[in-house]
Amino acid sequence: MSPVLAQGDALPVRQFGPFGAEAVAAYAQASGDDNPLHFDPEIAARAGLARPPVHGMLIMGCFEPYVGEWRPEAKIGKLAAKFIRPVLTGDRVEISGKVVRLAEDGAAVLRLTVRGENGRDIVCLAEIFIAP
Amino acid sequence: MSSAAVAALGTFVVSSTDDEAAAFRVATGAESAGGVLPLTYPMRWLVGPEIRAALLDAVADPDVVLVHESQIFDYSHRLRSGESYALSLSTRRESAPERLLVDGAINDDSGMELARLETILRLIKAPA
Repeated sequence: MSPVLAQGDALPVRQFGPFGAEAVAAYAQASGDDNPLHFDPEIAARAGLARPPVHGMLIMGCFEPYVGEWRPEAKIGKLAAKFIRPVLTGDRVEISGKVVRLAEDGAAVLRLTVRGENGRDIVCLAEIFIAP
Repeated sequence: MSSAAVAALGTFVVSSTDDEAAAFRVATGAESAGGVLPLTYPMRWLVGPEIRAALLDAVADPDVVLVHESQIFDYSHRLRSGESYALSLSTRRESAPERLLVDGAINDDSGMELARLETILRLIKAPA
């Protein structure tokens, strides 16, 4: 049984990736999102990127295991993400989180911050709503 | 920023097999079990051929690149593989900057709403 939640609690920082070409291809196959931007360096270069970007949804897909590892009993009711910078193929991300709101009934809001390969640039911000 | 009227995109019957759900779990690391679909799974339906074609029709510009800007999934009930759902979609256009906002509702056979989603796509004119 996990300890009782408190506002301000920090989730452990965890790295995901690296998201190599194989991981991107596996996600494309599983999700059906075969946009060539994610595979073709030439198209990525036309978009001003050094390498093809990872699907934003692959990064968002990390949130469920991230929260589940921290609180296996947590019931996620809502997740909202804003993709700020592309994560490039081959890069890792680092996810951190904090309990920013906690209701008396146990409902909570977590704010997640996803940083890119250098550990500084924020690539995605998200809120996760935990049901009571 | 200005916003155009909401346009119904249609209602689509969507479902997932156990194998499709399992492949998605492996690709994303989601650990949901017992036939429960990963939380981000409905994206798979949005990029399916029929809905993708409808979205591209809504964009109506082949020279535009769609960039995923934000995503929301809001569940009142979790979805399961082996079940069919009705996914109703509508779109709105915004200008300055150009965006396509996609709103969706996922209902079960009885008409009960199980989840909602919102996808915001930036529409970027590809360089010549």
